[in-house]
Amino acid sequence: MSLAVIQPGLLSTIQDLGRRGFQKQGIVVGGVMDSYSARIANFLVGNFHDEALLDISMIGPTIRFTHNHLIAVTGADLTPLLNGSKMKSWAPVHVKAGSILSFDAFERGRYAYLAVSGGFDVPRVLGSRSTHLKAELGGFFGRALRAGDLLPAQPMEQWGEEKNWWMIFPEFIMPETTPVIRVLRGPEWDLIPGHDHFFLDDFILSSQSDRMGYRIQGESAVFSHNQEMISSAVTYGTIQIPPDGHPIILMADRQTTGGYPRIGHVITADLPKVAQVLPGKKIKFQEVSIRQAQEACVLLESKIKKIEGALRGKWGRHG
Amino acid sequence: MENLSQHVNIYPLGDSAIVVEFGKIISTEIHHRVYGFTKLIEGSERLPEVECVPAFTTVTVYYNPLLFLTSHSDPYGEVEAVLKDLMLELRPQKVDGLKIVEIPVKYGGEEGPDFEAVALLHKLSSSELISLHSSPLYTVYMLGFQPGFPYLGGLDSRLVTPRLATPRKSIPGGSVGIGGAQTGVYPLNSPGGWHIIGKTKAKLFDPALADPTLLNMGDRIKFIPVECL
Repeated sequence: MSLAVIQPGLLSTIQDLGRRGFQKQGIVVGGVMDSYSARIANFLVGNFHDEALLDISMIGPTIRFTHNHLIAVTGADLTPLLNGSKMKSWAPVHVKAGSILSFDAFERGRYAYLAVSGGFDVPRVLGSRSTHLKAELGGFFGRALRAGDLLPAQPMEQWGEEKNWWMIFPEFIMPETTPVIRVLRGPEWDLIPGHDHFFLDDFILSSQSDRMGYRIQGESAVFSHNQEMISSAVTYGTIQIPPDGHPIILMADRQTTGGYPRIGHVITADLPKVAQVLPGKKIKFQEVSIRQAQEACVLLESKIKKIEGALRGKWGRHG
Repeated sequence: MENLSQHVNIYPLGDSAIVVEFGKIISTEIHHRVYGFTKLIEGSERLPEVECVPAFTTVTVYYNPLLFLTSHSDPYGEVEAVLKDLMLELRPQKVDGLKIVEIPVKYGGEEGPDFEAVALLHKLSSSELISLHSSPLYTVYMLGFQPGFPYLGGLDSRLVTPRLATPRKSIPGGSVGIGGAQTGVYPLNSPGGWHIIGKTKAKLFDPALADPTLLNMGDRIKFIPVECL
């Protein structure tokens, strides 16, 4: 046992890249909200990209390390503090036994990631270490962290020399201007009244937004309808329109299928950007083609591969 | 011979999934095509690392675009072409390994908060509503929405009820509901837009079991009215 939870924060859960292969049984994929930040956090401590880490929402936990660890904090800037002093994020950091990690104000973005070298040692359930809260499945006893929890993780035997490099805080997390989210038209686009407003209006993220879905409200547009649909599969980023006309963007803990008309889908490359938007903030949508969406996906993956290669190179020299 | 690729629509579900739609109505015939096509895809070596989600009228295939980068760098087109090829191999196929699962339901009361509203809407007495809902042998057309949640075919047309305009934020696990032309059971606490008419104690999802869901696509179920849970 290596990480003792003193304060759990608002909602801190153990996640990996999700539980795949069981969607036809209705078993939710789940996993991290912002896979970009999570994968980089793992690379920063020398892990593979799908290692289990802590997915931290808005108000971070306070954690005491009972052993030596190599950690990295990425994602939203929730002002991480190590023993009370500001800690570098987007960087590998040595923490000595007895150290305390805490978080202060949230400055930019919504979800932060804490990776430990070797990952959190919780059992795989149906192939994944992700916590699915509604089903009380996986992660740390199927639930969010609580004060007093002891999170199992392999301590560091040898650190090597202190790392003094870090990555620049990424632009996509809460940019200065209204984030523009690229979207593919959904299958029921034509059935939804007022759909032309979808790519014109600004939308505000509602406070009714969680790991399952982000509700948004158009500044003027309401897409109220009385369409009944035959239920069918949905995915991360599917934008459904319930009859009240206020869109819901399905997020990591989405259901596998849904029965509301689908006005669009956030492209895979922009899912981390959407995940990092805080309630009350504005977003805009921009239409792209399937070709553009898949090009963006390939581009982002090659960027991540480059980062992975560069970080592995650093480990080769310093690690 | 009938051409089974007639009336089939193929379209993207975002940039990492593709949908094959066999029609716009819920029917046993379409269910059998969905079942057969799912088996074909799952057995195909041309579609590595895909995940199929069969539904009433559709099979959705999740894929990683990076694994389908051809010289044209058109992963969607590539997957679509493979699916069209597979469609030519589709033959009418019955769902095998049928089993009948009995599910005890307590109708109305606190556990069925919309029972009276549904009875009123359709001008039915309580016993008529219970009888209409519990008489059919339903077919599990698909699982989805939640672990082990069955979407059932066979609801009496007199019980078709629109979904709630605004979904409830929380419905207790075990709740039995009607949404549109569909009926089913919520295995877990969840938000939802269906009218809730009763509750069961049957466990539809148990992650401790090797086969974690009580029901699978193609099973039949029968609701048994009970006085108390």
